[in-house]
Amino acid sequence: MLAFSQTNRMTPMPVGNKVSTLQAMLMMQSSVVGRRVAAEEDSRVDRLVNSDATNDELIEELYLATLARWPSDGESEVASKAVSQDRAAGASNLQWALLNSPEFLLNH
Amino acid sequence: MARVKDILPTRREVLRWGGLALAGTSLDHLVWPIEIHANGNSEPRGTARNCIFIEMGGAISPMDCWDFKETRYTPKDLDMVQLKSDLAISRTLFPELHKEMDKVALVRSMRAPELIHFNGQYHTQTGRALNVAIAREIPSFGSIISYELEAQRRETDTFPTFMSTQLTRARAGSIGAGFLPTRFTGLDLDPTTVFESFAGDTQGSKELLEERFRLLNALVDASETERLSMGSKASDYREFYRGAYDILNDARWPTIFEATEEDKTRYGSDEFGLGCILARNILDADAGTRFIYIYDGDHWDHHSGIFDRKKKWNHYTTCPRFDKGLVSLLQDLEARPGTASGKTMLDETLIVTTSEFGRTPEMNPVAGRDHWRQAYTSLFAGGGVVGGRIIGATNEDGGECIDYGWQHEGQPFMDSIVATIYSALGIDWRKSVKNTPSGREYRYVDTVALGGSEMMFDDEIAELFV
Repeated sequence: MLAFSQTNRMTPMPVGNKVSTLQAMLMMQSSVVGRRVAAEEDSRVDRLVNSDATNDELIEELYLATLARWPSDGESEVASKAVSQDRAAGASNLQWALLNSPEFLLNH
Repeated sequence: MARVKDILPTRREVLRWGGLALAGTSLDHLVWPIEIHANGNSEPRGTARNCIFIEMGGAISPMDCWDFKETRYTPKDLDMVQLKSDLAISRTLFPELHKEMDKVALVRSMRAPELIHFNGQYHTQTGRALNVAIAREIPSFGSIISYELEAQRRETDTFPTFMSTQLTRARAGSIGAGFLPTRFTGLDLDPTTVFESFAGDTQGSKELLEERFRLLNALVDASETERLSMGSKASDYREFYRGAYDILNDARWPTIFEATEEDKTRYGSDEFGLGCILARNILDADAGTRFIYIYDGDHWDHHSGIFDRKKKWNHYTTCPRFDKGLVSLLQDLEARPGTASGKTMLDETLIVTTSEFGRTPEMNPVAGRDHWRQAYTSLFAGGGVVGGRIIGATNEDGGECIDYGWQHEGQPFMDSIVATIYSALGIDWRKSVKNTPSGREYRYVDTVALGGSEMMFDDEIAELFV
């Protein structure tokens, strides 16, 4: 957690969220995030993929769950292209991208 | 009439400034391009291609270790060996290093201005005493190295020039790039977690990462055109993400986490041993990293029971643990070819290990040694350093310097070590930056009067090399 500005109790409090290379690398490829976005083991992505939700509903759900807002038209367009090619892989990649977005990392 | 305490900053203010300065990695207004002024008369040696700097956080006791003094406190079971008239070392505490002393040089006349870890370790990372007023713009010396060596980076280099292990655990935290752009911040790895975090299946993950990174960029582009921009934080984000992607996409990245069982036995499998293995592997990868800063925990701060075997951390445990990692690193670098013919990787890599200060020659009532700034010892090897050399000397209990051992009439400080590292890496250490955010000149290595006749000289320790 030190990579995410958690203090070591000896240093002053950090001034706020700042992205570092290590954070970015951990978010992109650590096993923790990897498991979280995988469409398996009854994850959110897995449940959504196997639900009756349409692709658009799935995208909206992931946006609401991750960023607490609806996707914009431009974002929906990019996202639905990814999900329509392969629903499971697309949903998993979309969840990954949302967790790695500046909005999630810097605002939430 | 104003009293002194009214005009001094309050504790809260100091913490606020300090917090901003010490935890921040970037300033709101960057100074770029930097105006560098050469001030002349430094002749950098350029004897080293790389540098590994090991900070023994908490402070090793010089008089029990590398500046040994037999006193009434000396335990009977140290199994001392007298290697030279001025060099005795314990085989119990340093079972491997005592065999390799011809490879290392010692500076026994080191002096520190500080007596507390926070300020001392800040000094170690930045090469200067803490000045809270401008601390926010002061970079770590690793960031200066990273800036200076940027022009030498090759197309294929993806790793940052400056990497470190466990610096976030140092008392002063990881000092950022100060007035320099964020790309000169060191990449800090925690050896206790990175092997696990980045381990696992890498087969086929390259394409997956590519696909996901494309999707991420498309989404970020889509939201940026429609939503409010997030300012400088967002551009930092893009820079860090691009750098992170390039590293993860580099086939050399997973190789730095290759540690065999034999490696772990030789180096030790604690955070220091693993940190040394990482450093070796990072240099092996030759992917752009030239400076590695290893922070070695706080196991050295023996205020009580320094030789008490019942305590978890005492000299019988801390020293052999350090000994394994350091000596394995020396041996492995010596066994590898350098980039120039006839040179080993050790010939081209300067290794420096130091604490922030020394420890009291008199033991306290609980058989420990407290903080002491008058004299301490730093160790150097490789990168052009003449092995076996001993510079400076202390009195009979190791508490006072009696021979400076170098060309100046005063003791060397951490600042001199930084000048030495710059020199070995071919960096002119007398440069300065004039256009800092505060407008105060930043000298790579400063000359500071300390009061009385004390003085810090802006010079390298040349005697290590000639």
